[in-house]
Amino acid sequence: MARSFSILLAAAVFLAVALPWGPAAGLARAASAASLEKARDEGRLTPEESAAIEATIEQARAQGLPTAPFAAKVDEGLAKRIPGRAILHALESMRDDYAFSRDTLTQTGGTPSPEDIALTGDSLRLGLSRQELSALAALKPPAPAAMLATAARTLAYLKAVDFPSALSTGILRQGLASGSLTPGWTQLFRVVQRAREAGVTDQALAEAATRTLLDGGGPAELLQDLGFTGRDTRQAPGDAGN
Amino acid sequence: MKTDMTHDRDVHERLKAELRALGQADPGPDFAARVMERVGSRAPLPRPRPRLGSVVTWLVQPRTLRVSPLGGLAAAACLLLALGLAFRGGTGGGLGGGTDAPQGLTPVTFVLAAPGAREVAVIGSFNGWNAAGWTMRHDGATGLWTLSAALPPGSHEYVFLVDGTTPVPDAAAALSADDGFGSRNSVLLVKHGDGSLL
Repeated sequence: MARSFSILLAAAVFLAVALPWGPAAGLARAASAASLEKARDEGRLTPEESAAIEATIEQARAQGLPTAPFAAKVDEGLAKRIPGRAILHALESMRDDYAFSRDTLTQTGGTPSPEDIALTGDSLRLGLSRQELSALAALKPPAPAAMLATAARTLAYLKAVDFPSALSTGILRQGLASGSLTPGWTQLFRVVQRAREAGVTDQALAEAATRTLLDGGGPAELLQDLGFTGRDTRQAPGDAGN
Repeated sequence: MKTDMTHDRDVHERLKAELRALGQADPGPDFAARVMERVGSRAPLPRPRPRLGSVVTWLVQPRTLRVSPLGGLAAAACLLLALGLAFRGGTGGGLGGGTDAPQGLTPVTFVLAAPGAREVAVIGSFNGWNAAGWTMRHDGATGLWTLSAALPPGSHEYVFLVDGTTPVPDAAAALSADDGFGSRNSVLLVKHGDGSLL
């Protein structure tokens, strides 16, 4: 009985140590391998293509990049019936984007988390250019990696709604300098859309946003500054707000 | 009957005689010492086990569990059903009309105008790009395909999969992203469950 209890205790300690370090990566590998095997069995991928895809994901892992998005991209490509060569090309582009993002975020002196790397890397697919990302990272004082990732996503969304680049840069510069650019600011583009509907100019909105960030406020304070009530911003269930 | 009564009476008389003799027996001067010596020579009774130790012992002690084949199958089916519901509950899945969204998830509705389609599903980052369980409902009167679901807050990429083969972005989506395959995914930003903008 003492021996079985010791084994049980040792197993529990092993799991407590091992699980926090590798569940996400392990699950991503397992999911990716299963998808690739299924695709090979169905003839949608050749063994060579499957091996090349696995090697690319392994390279990403070796470079310290988050691998879950790579497994998801494989699933996406297979679901869309994309040829294996095109899936491989997409993964290589993703790996390059993530590596660039990781290196840029590291320039500010911090250590980016996998989430920061993915958030920034995916912002490049949303329309942010590498040059714009580098410019954000070059702003002084250096911002923490998480806040820089938020700035990247915010800028990508603002570009999507054609908000003037100069105004966006001014807002983000203030937010990074003040340290008040919280993740909620990624939805600034929605405020832009609402403000435009209400006849507020982009210039006026940018000034209000800059003031709010200087005061350390968040998007809720910006809405108040613009004169929006809760009813103006709250939408009915079923409307995801796009 | 008479023989049994006589036998019982003899047994009683004998017992009474022996009991009388016992009272007259001399145990000896060292009787108490002999008794204490025998008591002391016995192994001490085990100390009561601490409650926690008893619990641990109970937990780690193997036990035999008897389950009929039918009962085992029923238990396995229940477990699989529970796991399936729990997994789909995390990504929302399709909601029926009037169904409340699970806690922490926000109800959303996907709509596509594709009157010529035979079948439409929604695939995206929220369901592993797997159309199973995400088939849209067709309204013959309007020609619209709809699906109600419940998604966690955050950014989600998706497309409509028409007739099982053709991915189609959502023309109503304000945001889109390069999918890396030469096309674009629609981007859905889901707010928190209270519907607040920010």
